[in-house]
Amino acid sequence: MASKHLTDRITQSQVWRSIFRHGAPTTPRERSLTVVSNFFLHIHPVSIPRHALRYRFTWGLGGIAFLLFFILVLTGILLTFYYVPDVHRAYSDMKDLRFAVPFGVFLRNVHRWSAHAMVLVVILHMARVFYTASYRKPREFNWVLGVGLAVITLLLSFTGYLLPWDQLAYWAVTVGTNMASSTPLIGHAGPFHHLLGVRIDNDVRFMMLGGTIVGQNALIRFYVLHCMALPAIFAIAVAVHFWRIRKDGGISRPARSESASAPTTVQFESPREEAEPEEKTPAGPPARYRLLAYVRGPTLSGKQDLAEDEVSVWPNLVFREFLAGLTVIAVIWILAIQFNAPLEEHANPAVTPNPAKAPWYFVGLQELLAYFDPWIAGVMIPSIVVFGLAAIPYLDGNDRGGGEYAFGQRKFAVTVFTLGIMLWFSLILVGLFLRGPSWAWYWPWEDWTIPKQTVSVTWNLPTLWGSLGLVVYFGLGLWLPAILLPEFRKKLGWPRYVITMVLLLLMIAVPGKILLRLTLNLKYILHTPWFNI
Amino acid sequence: MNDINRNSSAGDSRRGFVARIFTWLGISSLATSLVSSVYANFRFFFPKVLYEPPAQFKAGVPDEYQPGTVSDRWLNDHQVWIVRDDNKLYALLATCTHLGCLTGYFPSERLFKCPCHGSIFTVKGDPVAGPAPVPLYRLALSIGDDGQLVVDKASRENQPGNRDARPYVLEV
Amino acid sequence: MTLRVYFGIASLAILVLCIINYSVEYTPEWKHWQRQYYALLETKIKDPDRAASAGATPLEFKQVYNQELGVADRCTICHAGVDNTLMDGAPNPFKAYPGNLLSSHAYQQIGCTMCHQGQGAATTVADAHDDVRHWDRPLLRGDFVQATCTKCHQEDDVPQAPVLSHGKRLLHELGCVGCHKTGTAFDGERVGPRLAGIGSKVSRRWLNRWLMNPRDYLPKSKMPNFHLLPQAANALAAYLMTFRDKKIDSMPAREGDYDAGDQLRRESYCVDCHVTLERAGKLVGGDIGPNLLKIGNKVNQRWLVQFL
Repeated sequence: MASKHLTDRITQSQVWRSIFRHGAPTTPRERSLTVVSNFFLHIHPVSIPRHALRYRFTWGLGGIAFLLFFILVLTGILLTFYYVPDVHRAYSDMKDLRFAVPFGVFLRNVHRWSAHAMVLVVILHMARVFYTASYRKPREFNWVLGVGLAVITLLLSFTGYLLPWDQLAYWAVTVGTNMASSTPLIGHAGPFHHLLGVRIDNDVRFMMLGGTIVGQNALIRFYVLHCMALPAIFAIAVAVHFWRIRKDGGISRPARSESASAPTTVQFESPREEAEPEEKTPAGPPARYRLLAYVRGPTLSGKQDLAEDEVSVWPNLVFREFLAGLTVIAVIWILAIQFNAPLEEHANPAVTPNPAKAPWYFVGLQELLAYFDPWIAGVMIPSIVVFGLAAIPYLDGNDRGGGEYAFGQRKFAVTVFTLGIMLWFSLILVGLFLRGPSWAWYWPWEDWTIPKQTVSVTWNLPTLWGSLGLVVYFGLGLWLPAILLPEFRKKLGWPRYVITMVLLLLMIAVPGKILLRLTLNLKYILHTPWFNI
Repeated sequence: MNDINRNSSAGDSRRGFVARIFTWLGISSLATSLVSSVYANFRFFFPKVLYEPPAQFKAGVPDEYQPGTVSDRWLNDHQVWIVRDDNKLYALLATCTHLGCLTGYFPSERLFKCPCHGSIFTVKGDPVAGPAPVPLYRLALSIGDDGQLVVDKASRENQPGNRDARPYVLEV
Repeated sequence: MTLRVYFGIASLAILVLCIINYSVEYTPEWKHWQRQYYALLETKIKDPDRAASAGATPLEFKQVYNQELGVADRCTICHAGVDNTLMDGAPNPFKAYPGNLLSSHAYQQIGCTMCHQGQGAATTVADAHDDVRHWDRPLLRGDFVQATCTKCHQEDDVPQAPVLSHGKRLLHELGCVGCHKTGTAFDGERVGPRLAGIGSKVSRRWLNRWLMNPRDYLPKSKMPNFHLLPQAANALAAYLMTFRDKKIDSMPAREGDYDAGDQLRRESYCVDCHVTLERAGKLVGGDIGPNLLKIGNKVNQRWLVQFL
């Protein structure tokens, strides 16, 4: 037919063939080439096990997080054409984006809701990876990279939050950076700061803000971090994150016996698992390790090459990813059309809104600040949480239930993790819905304009009792499970056991102390001139 | 699992038909959305309003300009000369057409001279010396509702012939 | 197959969202108002050619930009006739600015929100005029629009702002600055008389009564009734009476001649400024100085001699 003739003339032309180095992906060989010869697509392998297509295994969360990052970068770049990080015009620029720029309001909304969605999806993705124990050997470090990516996501959110320069922005960053000043040793308001001669004009907060106040210097620093430094670091880390997944064999699966290693999938073998010694050719690198390339030839000529449980990535996986992408875009667009991103009054250092609440992913931390000193709630607890999360793959002594949702085989791990998540989200819910003006407790049906009576006076445990209590708590907490559950202790070995139990005890201590505060008005377990717990 | 490229022609042509409908619906919707998004992005780069001085300004009533004079009343604020010979009024943009410097008027010689590279223009705007390639621009003139002259810097013409017709020359 | 169906539906949803986006962007509220303005303008121009071209003016997004303050006002997008005399008396938002204020207040330089407040950068009726959450300079309506005149016009009597001027006068007269900082030039002004030496001037009984209710003695006194309890007023009076003027205290007490004084009063025309008589229930005298009818109860003689 004429059209076919035309299509052929186009697809056989020199111009076309210099761009697309493969034919239409209708045969297994062409599909392989489509994936492998494309810069973007060759993130994927050529074929994948069938189970990797199961939506309800991964829920596509990692990919969705990456897509959201991409949307944020794109919309972010467009926004920077109209936004100037100058304290005298940042706010007006936000108003102009809303009123005087075509599609400006839509773009800003997409950016804001994608940011919130990304934080949520990153958390869900982390939970998914945990619940499927996909962090087991050899994927431990990829999990650590993932925790790092989550931290960078939160930092991106934090730095971006300042840019509109409204009351929400100004006070959120004021509180956040003041928490930094409570860091022990290097914060001017933290324990032991005088040991290093740290003052308000040379501490870690000063370094973040470029000054002693949240002002022009802070704005330009946060702008550079938000638009250049953090996205670059994130992009590099995410690239490594994907690379490792490929090298670790793709999406995790339950440990299986000898897989029918299809010649079409490349398996990376760790040199350490190599039993035989390397064979060296007389001159040059060891001849044993070679990266297979896709070349013309009879080996990749038919479907027979795919193992029984394998499917080709094009189009099975790629199409599903595309559909997931369409869904995400549709959802974000609906949110962006319906709901405007908030913009409160122009930043005013003389007026603090009451209440001044952080965005939902930080409001749990803000709630925590009501019960603990800033250096604990703002610095120690988040650090310990990040450390604890990163350490999970190394602390997990259980080798069952990996690569699938197998709660029955991992009761301890799943319980502890779920408890932790629930605790965190309880704090978020309390901070979001049960706190009103002056951070007083308001049930959802209560009127915020009616002030609450001030809370009754708090008291502290005497130092002796407090210290004793802490020693007993941690002592018993470490000793009792060791003698009551010796199997558990033996499986972990002493170092991992101690770290796990300490983390667990700390995690239980947080709601414990919150309860003591709420019921008995106990403020400090341990009260010293240098720090309080 | 569905390998969607597997041939579904195994007897079920209705299923294939439905699949094709939705495929075409999908592709055409996406294509339209893509084109419109590209246009929206393009449109995004043209702000609705500028923070610059406006292109039009009101320049008083024609009778304020004496015949046979070149008025520098609007030179400072808008870089425009108002020239009147007898009953014809035109507005000259004082920007030199060589590289953009501001020309000065020398009434004794009835010439505009540019300080940067020495271009010289007649009162009509024609270059008679120096590197300037083309005549000075005349700006569109009109009479507003209140009888004042309205000068439009966004509309300009310098070719002889075109520049002698309305709206670049106004009969008063 | 389900995947294809989903693909079709999802793509369609995205197309619908694109269309919604476009319609929101290309049919903004202001175009409706500007269109109506030009239609109205067309009916008011006599010359048919100029009327037609006015009616066909392309719709434009406009703003007035105050360079010094970096404030952009977009009111003239809808209020397009604000300086067009043909629009005198037209309905809002098309009418020309009433009165002669525009000739002395060049809105092209100052903008509109400098005086009228409201969210000038907004381009919808609600966002510009109504009570917008988090915009703390709402549009001033009714008499309140005179409030901003005082930004530049610091004087008491501001032309074309009678309510404001009255307020300013009251502020001064009623001595509000005695207790309240007003941010005006009056702050720091002393509202009441000096109390140094008051013990040598007034009688203790008078002082007690005054403190209990000043306007009992002097109805137009600036000092309000502080509703002091009797023991508080007593205590205050006792304290204030210790403020002595040594010079007055050390003056010798002297009896004066009553009739000579009365004659002097008549000859000196004291009555021009002071109320000095009561005749048939009517007060006789001026009100420039204080009413002297009860002055004997108030001041002590030594002080009066020194004063006169």
